[in-house]
Amino acid sequence: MYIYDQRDHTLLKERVVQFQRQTQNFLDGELSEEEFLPLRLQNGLYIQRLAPMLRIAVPYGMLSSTQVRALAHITRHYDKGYCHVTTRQNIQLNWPKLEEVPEILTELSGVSMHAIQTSGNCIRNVTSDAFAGVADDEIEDPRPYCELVRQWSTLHPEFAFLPRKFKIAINGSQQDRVAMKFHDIGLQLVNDIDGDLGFQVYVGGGMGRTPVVGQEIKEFLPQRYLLSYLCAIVRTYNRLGRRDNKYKARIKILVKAMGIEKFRELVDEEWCLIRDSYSPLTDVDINAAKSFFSKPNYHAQLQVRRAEIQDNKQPNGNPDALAELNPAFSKWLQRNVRGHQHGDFSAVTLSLKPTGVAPGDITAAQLETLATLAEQFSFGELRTTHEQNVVLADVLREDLFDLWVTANKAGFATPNIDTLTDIVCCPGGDFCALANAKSLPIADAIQKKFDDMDYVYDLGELSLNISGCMNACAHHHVSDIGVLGVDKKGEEFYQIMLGGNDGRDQAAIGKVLGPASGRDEIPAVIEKILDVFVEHRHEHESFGQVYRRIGLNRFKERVYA
Amino acid sequence: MADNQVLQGTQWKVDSSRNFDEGLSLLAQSSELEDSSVTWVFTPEQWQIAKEKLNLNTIKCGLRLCGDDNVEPLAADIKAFDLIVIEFPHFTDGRGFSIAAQLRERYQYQGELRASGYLLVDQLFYLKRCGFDSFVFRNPVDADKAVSALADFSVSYQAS
Repeated sequence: MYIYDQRDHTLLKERVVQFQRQTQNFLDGELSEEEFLPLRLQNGLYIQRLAPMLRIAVPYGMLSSTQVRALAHITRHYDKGYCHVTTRQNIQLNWPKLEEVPEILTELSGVSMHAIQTSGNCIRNVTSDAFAGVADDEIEDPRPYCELVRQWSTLHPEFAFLPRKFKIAINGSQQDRVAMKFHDIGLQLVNDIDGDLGFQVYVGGGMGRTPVVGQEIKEFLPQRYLLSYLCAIVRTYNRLGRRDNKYKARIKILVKAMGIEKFRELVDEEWCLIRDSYSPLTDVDINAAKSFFSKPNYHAQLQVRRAEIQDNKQPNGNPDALAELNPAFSKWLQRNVRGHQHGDFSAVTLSLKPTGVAPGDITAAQLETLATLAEQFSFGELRTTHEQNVVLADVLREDLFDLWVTANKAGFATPNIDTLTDIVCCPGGDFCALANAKSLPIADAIQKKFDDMDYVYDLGELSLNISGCMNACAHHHVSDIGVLGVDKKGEEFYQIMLGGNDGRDQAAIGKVLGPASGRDEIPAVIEKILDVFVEHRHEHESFGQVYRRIGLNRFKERVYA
Repeated sequence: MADNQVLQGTQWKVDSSRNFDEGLSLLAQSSELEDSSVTWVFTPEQWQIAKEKLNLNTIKCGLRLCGDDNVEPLAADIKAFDLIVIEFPHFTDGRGFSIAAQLRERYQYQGELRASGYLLVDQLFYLKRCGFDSFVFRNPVDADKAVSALADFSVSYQAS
C-alpha cells in the first residue's frame, strides 16, 4: 500500500497545527460558529445529536495492521471503545470530545492517517473496489490511480469551497463494484482498441434526495490526462454549480439542467486550454504510484506454508476437504470467500453484520484482532468495503480454515456476505442530527426475523439498505430492497423501494413501493416481498432479475393487499 | 486595522486603488483620472464604456469581477489591467478561486490579482496558491495572523 514520504508527513503535521489553531480560535470566540463550520467539516468533524462525530479517512479503503491498532487505541482512549465503518469506506468515531480532536488528529498523523476532506463541500475521499489488485475480473488495479487522485485532491487550493460535496470513485474491474454511476465522477479503467490504458468517465451521478444515474462524458480519456480532465470538470462545476439552494447544488443538478452535451462542451473547452500546460501524468508518475501496489510475495508465502505442512508443523489445511467435514466452514467458504488472481490464494470478507450488532460497528478489541489476523494471514493489510465489511485480500487457501476459526471466535465469520442480512445501514436517528428516523433498530429487527440461514441462502444474493433520511448514506436507492426513514408529524415511518442496483448488474434507481409503514410492520412487509420473489423466481434467478421481469406491481399487490 | 488596508505579498499597505464609481461619472475627463498613484477599478460594464470614452494610455486601470461575471468577453483586454479584483461576497462562495486560476492559467494574466470581501485568514494559503497576491478584508482580521496564515503549509501535492 501507499507509504508516506516526507512531503506527506510534513503536510499532515502542518494540517494538525492549522486545525489546532482553528479550534482554539473557535473556542476563544475569534471564529464564529458559522466560520468554524466549513473548517471543521473539512477536518471530518460534525456536530451530531449527542456529541461530535469525527470521520477518519481511509483512502480507497486500504489499512495496515499498524493503522488498525492505532484506531483501536484511539477508539478506546478517546471514544467509547467502538467505531463505525461507513458506506464510503471511512471510519467514524461517534463520541469524541471537540477539545480532544486535535489530539486525535496528532495520533492519527503518527500512523499516516487523517480526517482531511471526509466532510464539507470539497472533494471527498476517493473510493474503490475492496478487491482491487486481486479480483479475477480485473482490467487494471485502480489503486495507483486512486492514490494519484487522492494526492491531487488533498488540500487542492481551488476546490475547497465548492457548491457542495464532490465524490469520485474508480473501478478497475469488469463488474462495477464501486457504484461508479452514482458518484459525481465515476472512472472506469479501460483499454482502447490499441491496448492503451485510460478511463471511461461518468459524471453527474448521485443519490440523496434526487437520485440520478451518472452519464458518460468521455468514452476514452488517456491516462496521462486524468488530472487535467478532472480539473476541467470540477472547475466548470465550481464556476457554474448552483449556490442558492443546497439541495440543488450538486453537480448532478447542473448536468441535468444544462444537459450532458452542453456540459461536455464546456468541460472540453476548459480542458483543451489547460491540458498541455497542466502537468500530465507521465509514465514515471504512474509507475511510481504503481510501485506501492505491487503484488505481495505470494510465492515466498506459499513456500513457507508448504514447508511447514511437509514438516508436519502445521496440518494440511486443504479447505475443500475441511469443508466436507464441517458444514459451518463450508457455508462460510461459499459466502465469504472469493476467487483471486493467484489460484493458491483467496480474498476473504469478514462480516461486520452479525445479528444484534449495528451494521459496520466494530469494537476496539475486534480492531486489534483484525490487525493480528491481517498480519497472520494477509500480509499485514486489510480493506474496508463500501458495504461496511472488512476484506483480507490475500489469504493462502490452506490458511482459510485457521482464519475462519479465529474470525469465528471474534464474531467476524457470520456467513452472510451479499445476502439479506448483510444489511447496509447508516447510523440513523440514534446518532445523526440529519436523520428523520432511526435505522439501526430496523436492521436489527430484520436480522432477527430472518435468522434462518438456510432460508437466507436460498434467497441468494440480495441487497437490503436502510437510510434514516433522504440523504441516503446507506444508498437505499440502489439496493434490491431499500428502506428509507421518513418523519410524519413527528412519527417515524419507513418507505420501501424496490429494484435499485448500484451497477453490479445494471445501474438503476429503486422505485417506491407505496405508502410508508410503521417501524413494527417493516419485517412483515419485507417477508411479503420475499414471498413474491420466491414464488415467481425461475431457477438461479436473482431478486433483481425477477423484479425486472415481473415489475413492481406484483410486489405492491401483495404488500398492500 | 484601518479601513483602507490591503495585504500585498506579506505586507500590509494603504490601498491605492479606487472603484471607478466612487464619486465619478463616466463623463469624467481622463485628466481627472491621470494620477499615477491611483488605480481605477472598473466593473465589466463600466469598462466597456470607459474603453470608448477615456484615454486609457494615461490611466492605471483595474477590473472588478464577481462570481457571476464571465471572463471570456474580456479576454482580449486582460493585458490592459494592472489589477484585477475578485469579489468574495461570502467565504463559502468558492467561485473566485476558479476565476483566479482561470485568469492565471487560461488568460495568462500577470498583474496583481486581489481577493476582496468576506474572507477567512484560514483561506489565505489556498487563495495565494490560486494566484492571488493581494487581499482586502471586509471583515475584521488580525493583521499578524493573516500574514502568518499565508504560510500555513510549506508543501503541496499539486504542481503549481
